Amino acid sequence: MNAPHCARAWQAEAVEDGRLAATDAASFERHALGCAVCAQEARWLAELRRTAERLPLLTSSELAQRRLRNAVLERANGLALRPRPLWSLRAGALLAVTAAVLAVTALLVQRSAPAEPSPRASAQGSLASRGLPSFRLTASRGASWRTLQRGATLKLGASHGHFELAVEALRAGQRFLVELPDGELEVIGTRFTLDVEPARTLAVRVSEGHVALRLRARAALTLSAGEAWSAEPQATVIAAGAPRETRATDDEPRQHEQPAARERSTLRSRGPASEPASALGDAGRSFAAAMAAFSAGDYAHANRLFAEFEHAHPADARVEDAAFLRAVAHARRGDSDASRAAAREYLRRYPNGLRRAEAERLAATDSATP
Amino acid sequence: MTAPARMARETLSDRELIAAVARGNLEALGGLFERYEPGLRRYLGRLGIAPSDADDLVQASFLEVVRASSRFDPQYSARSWLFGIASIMARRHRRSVGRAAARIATWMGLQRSQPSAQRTPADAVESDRALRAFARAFERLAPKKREVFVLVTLEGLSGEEAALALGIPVNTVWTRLHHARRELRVALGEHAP
Repeated sequence: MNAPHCARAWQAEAVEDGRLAATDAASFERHALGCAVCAQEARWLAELRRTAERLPLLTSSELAQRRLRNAVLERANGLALRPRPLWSLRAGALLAVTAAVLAVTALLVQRSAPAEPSPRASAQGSLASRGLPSFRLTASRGASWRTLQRGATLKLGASHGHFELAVEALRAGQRFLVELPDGELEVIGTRFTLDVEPARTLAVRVSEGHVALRLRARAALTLSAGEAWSAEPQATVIAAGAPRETRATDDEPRQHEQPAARERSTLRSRGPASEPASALGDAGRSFAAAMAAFSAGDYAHANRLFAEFEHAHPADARVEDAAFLRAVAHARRGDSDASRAAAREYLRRYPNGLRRAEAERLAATDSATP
Repeated sequence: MTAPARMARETLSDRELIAAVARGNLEALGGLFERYEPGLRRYLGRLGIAPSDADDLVQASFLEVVRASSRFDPQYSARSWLFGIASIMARRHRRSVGRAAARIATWMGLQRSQPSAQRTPADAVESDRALRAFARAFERLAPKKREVFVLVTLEGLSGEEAALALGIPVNTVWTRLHHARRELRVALGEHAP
């Protein structure tokens, strides 16, 4: 190594790194004009950087990048559904006890009020002063739930029963999660009802705001005001390869159901498919028409409409949904050969698609199985 | 992805996207991915990560973004935070590769582990002796010095940003950078630029 012979040579590196003030840098540059050592040092540093920049770079094709993006999002979605580690449950145990006391206290207060007897239990989240979301919960008789806190995140573990929740608008950093037997639901400032049985979620109906519903082995959904999801057959399109689910009987009569809100199950995670048709363009209307036929059980017609949608709007984000739903539609009308073919076509076009697991099940369906 | 969703993502700042990821918004994670995947891949390659491992490390870095997003301090640079996560992933990877190499070496009765046979960016250099010599010297740089050299000299991070990314004092950044340059200079010998 050739040691520089000028006392200011070290400034060459400082200039290269942007560590010197503008005036000092200008002073050094003037000095370097007359100092061969400093000029050589500055040239060497610049050349070193240029040489390093010539090293080959790792790049990826657009297709590879898209595949990796899908893989990341898919795994991130799974990450959100993974049960929390034990330590996080322990960390929230203290708050769980506190919240349970609060809930019981609120219940007792309400029951001692002169109002008519109610078959339902109510609880009010009064933890806002601790930076936690504020909420009001009404649960059916015999319903079971618990609350956990982690930072500004409040988690309500719903085990079974019918719940009506009203959550005030969340402030920055706050989260309100409902832990379900088969996934979780994230509140985005809203009012909604929830039916849960020990092993699965039965229904979610949103009357205000939005919720994000993330169930295991299913794509995430965003439900907006007026929308509903239920485990009824028309809502099992995401898991069409699995056995059909039937609605369980609740532990008390449903007196507060909103029929209009129960009838639609929508996929909003990647597109505006669930918006009212009048608010949409041609693509939205076409997709909505296909979905309507699908929901009505007219699978042959739905298949045709989805095919037309794919043909007319190949760049629309819902084309992937349409391609998958065609496979489901064939399966529903008993044409397993066509269903397998459609599922394989989906897998060919979207090897990392969000419905890959379900499509693989459909593609592998035995020909004797409708 | 819909046009409005894409537009919303493109207009959000890095900090807003990270905050949205912390709320469980996967579209925001997609936005961060599109914005930073090429840079992180390039950075990992310059740290000597083999192309065959780059996908895994990029993926692991973005999944770590999901886990760590709630702890992100918005007063700091999102870019240096992301490069910091990638640096941690690269270090973990080096350790695991090093352990695997040591186990193989022990199994084979070798005295010491041999350099990785995986193809690195340097392997692709076919022309220009000086560049090849530089690539060899660059590969021999200690990982900590190499990280600093790449972040500051090649990725254009300030000393403060590099310090934040690597979790070290800013003066340590300058010291490591100086030593990295000196080692490159010594190693290059007659091929020194």
